[in-house]
Amino acid sequence: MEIGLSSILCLAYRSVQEYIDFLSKQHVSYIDFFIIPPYIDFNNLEPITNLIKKRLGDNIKITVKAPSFVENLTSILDKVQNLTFKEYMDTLDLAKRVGAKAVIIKPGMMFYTEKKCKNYIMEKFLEYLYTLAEIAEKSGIYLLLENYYYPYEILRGPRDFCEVYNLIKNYEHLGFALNIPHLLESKGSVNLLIRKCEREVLERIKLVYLGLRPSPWENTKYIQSIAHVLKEAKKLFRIISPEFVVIASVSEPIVRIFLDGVRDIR
Amino acid sequence: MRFLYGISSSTANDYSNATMETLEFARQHEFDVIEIYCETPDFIPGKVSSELLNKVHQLALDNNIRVQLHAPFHSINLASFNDRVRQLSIRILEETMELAQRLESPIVTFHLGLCFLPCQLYRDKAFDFLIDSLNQVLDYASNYGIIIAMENRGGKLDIGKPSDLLRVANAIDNKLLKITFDTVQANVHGDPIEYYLMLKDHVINVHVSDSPRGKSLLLAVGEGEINFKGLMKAFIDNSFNGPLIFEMSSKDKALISRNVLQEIVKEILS
Repeated sequence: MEIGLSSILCLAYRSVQEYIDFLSKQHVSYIDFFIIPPYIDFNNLEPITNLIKKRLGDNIKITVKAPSFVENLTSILDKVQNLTFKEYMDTLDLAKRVGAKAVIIKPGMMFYTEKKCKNYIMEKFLEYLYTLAEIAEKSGIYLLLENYYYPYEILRGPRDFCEVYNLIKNYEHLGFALNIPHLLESKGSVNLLIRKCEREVLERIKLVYLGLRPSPWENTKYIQSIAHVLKEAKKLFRIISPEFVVIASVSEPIVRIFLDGVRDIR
Repeated sequence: MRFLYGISSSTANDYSNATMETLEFARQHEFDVIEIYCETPDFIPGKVSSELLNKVHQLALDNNIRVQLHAPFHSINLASFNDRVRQLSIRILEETMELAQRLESPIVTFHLGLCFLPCQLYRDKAFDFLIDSLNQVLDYASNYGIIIAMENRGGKLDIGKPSDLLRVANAIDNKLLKITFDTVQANVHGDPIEYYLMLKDHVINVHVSDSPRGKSLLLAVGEGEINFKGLMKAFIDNSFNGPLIFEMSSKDKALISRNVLQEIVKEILS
């Protein structure tokens, strides 16, 4: 189990250099790059990786989280679907170039219109997803679907994991990135996940995100949630041992607390 | 004073034929305006058939129904830090304006966007992106003389709180940039009357639905907690006569709401 840090910490430092300094001081040897400007984008990820390897050594492990805010592989709007697909393809391409082990994507959102046209939407979604999966497989990279907590997400609660697993089970390189704060926010829990899903579903969880509720991808100050998130992680790690655990926060003190907490669990 | 009442195609039962279904309903029930929601499968900017456009245009003309458009908004983010997303958002709005021009639609309603992590930390920078995107959209709008109306939004991640809209309006100061005032979105975290009074100089279009305070349901007027009597009085005091577009979960609710509002107006004016 590799314990790493999300690059969103750059947003707090307002600099990549300070982020690298922090990685070095904390003896962290795994980075999850989230492609969000202004500090990490498609153009600078490769030179930044080279810089980090020079400083921390070539053995540093890398995963890459694709842009995942308005991106939507299940949008009724072709242009949105195409943009999302292109961004995910570009992320896979970048991941290959920097030697990343996994790419993390947001599977999709179904709003009112999409729900009304579900069959048509799902057909196109699967076409895109399987194309990405094949590319990932050829590159030896995991393509991991991350759960989100907003009500219209297609991968949200424990039951969604079981349903989506049925769509991905034939692709060995497709799996899940379990975001524990998101799981809790959608009224799920690790116990519920274990109860609802077969072991083979859980074993597809290759990466786990830890951070503050409601979401590591929001600027939240809900520090009371740390204990709960760590407790849930502990429960999960008794059942499975995901390859990657990522601590994601825009606050250095919060990152330190999670790092200590996870190292204790391990 | 006569108000203009309209209906949104988001009320349609059959989304594959939402535009024609709503237009036909508007004709039968003598609505003045139809607002086409450009995110139903039959009416996606860049993909609408000429045949449908001609049909809509003709039917609206024949029945004296004004057509206006609501641009797609899911995944639209004019304030995104991601250049690709911003460019796509601008392009989708341009394509909506092309449709508006074909339909002689004077107004296109749109949403400004969403505020995720980079925006939450660097809000001023996000507003710089937003203003830059809007200037591009307005350049395009000026070719056709179309008014683009930004809608107030109440969601936690939405850019569209009344203060956001005023900040944008003051920064841009363009006569083609106006506001669509949504009663339920205003009610999500504030008092709709207070918000309307803040924004009234810019409002040219209203989305009507009702809801309990703090929630964004699409109920008929009277089913929620919004003070429509006070709101209609504020419209009248400001000499604003609509359009008031019913954005509800069913067309029946729109008919009920129109009757209720007409009664309220009668009472106020008597």
